[in-house]
Amino acid sequence: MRNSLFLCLVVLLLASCGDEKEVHETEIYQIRAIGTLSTTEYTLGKIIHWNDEGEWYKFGDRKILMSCKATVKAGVNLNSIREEDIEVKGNKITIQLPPPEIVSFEMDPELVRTEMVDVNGFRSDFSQVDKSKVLKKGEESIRKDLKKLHILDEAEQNAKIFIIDFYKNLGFEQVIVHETPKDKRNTNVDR
Amino acid sequence: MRRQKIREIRTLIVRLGLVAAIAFIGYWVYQLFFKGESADEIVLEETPLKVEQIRSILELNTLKFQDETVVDSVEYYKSESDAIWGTLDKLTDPDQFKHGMKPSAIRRRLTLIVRGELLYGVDLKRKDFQFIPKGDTLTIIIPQPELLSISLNPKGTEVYLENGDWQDYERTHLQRKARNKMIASGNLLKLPERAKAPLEKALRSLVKTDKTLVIKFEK
Repeated sequence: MRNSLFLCLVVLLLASCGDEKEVHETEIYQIRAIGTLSTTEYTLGKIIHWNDEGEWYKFGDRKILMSCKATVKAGVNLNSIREEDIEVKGNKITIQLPPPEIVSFEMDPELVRTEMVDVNGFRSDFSQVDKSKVLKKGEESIRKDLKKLHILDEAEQNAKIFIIDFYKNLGFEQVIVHETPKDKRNTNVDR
Repeated sequence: MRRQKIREIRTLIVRLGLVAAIAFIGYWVYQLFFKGESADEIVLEETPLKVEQIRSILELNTLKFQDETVVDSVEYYKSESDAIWGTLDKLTDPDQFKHGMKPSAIRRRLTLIVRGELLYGVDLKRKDFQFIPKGDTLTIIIPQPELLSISLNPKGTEVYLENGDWQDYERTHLQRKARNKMIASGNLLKLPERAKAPLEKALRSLVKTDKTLVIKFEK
């Protein structure tokens, strides 16, 4: 009995020794060290239009027009440069540039607006749940359309300019940058 | 005896058929009247994507912080009579009916689960990024790491509970609250400070020099 009481006291004492300011582990989702160089930023605008005609038993229809803006940053992942990708010969440096990729995608909630709503018949108004579903579809559509833009080409060109300036500043007279073939690019827009 | 067995089997078949028919009708009624509208059923009209601005930037991101937070807004009834009328009002509204079925003191409630991504690093376009070669030493002065971008997107935002009518500005206010909570978490974890080590590592792997490399952060 005395032993178990002593054990309880030790456990309580140890538990009370923790730093009060420590952040609870549950609050942390993920922290990851990365090394991406963002070189191009696109600001995009989109009108999201949903015409919800509903099923035959739902009398009336409803329409919604929302406008939103997205900021997309693209660049290269410097962490993927391997030792053999950089070759130095005297004052000449040759570097194999990693493929460009989407670094971040941001749809600022402050820049999302409901422009028009039209509800008729016995249909209910658009709830926040409905609007959230529409916005998710809108985001999906913007991400899909990103492939049609030249953001990756521009990001690659800007990264090339940075690399050339960077090594010239380091004293190299000749800087040769090789790009990754387009078919080996990471086309994942789900950042 | 045999005839009775045949009759029993026939009765069994008829009963099984009836159960199958009831199950089929039940499923059909559910599909037709009760199944909610899922996100997959939403088909947007085709609208063009407008490029509003193209900007050349130079940001070295060295730390990615993915966070998830719950933000909530609750409004209570001011009096008992207010609660009775409010509950009756909910019972007459098909969208709010389920909230009226179990009366409570809550008039309205909106709860969001927000997932966000914060990127920390340095803006290399700032003037305080410079190279200083001196003798056998190369000193690189870089700005202090900071929060460069924060992404809170619709894909990562879930409306967990919506009781009552909510306006857009109220939802935006909650999202702003989530954003501030994430920034506060990042500061509490000293992420701008922790972004320094991977930044030094990235620069050291990039710099090819015979000189001794010194990396200093601008104060």
